[in-house]
Amino acid sequence: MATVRAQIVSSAYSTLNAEYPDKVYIGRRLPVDSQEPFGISVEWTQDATDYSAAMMAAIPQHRLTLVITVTAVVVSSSEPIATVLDTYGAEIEENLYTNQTFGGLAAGLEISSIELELDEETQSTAGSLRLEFVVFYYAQEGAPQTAI
Amino acid sequence: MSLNDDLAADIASGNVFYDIDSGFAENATKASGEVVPVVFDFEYLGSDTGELTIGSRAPRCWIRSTDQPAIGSTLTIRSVLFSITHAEPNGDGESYLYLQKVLS
Repeated sequence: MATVRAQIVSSAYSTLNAEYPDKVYIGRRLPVDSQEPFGISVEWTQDATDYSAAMMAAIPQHRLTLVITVTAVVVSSSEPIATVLDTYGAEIEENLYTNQTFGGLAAGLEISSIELELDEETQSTAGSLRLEFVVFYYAQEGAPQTAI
Repeated sequence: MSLNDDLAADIASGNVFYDIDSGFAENATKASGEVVPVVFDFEYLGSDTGELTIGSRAPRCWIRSTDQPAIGSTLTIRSVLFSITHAEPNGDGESYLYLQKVLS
């Protein structure tokens, strides 16, 4: 059975893949094909524990850093890449907050940063928007596969 | 004049590279309609932003500085319209142009 953090990533993937079919990947490092106008990566980068925020000492609160990165290229002169990415970012945030318990696995999430990066070295301007969320969940120590 | 002198003169003038028939150049059409030789490059480029990169191309070309259109102007190469976003002169009469596709 997968850890709670992996289940949360999988749930986030399912939520976003329903909105953007075949454009969402988990932990992808290979470039998205040049024929695709955009792609979305879902991954976690840190899972910190906080015993002081726990109800009981053996049940730490986890603060999972969930990173959603959307990368895109501009396909129309009327839609600047920053606007395109900002629209995707807003939609992704809305979608994740709609199911912020990830099917009952977590207590909730907070958005912690949004970072925009552009690249004009390419034949059409490309860029990425990195959205970082903190997901709060509880799991008994020694049992990372079971959410509480 | 020896063959060696001929070769040296051709290389010094840049003609050996910018000759459409026997060099490395191909035709490019400026916005004015003037056709000039360029050495075009259209390599793959993975855009290096964020954790997730997107595959793309890096259109560039070498052009003689005397033929170079202004930054922001256009060149049509291989039937594709490109705008010139940046130029790097090499100090020897040539410039390396950074191009982007003109989108509709």
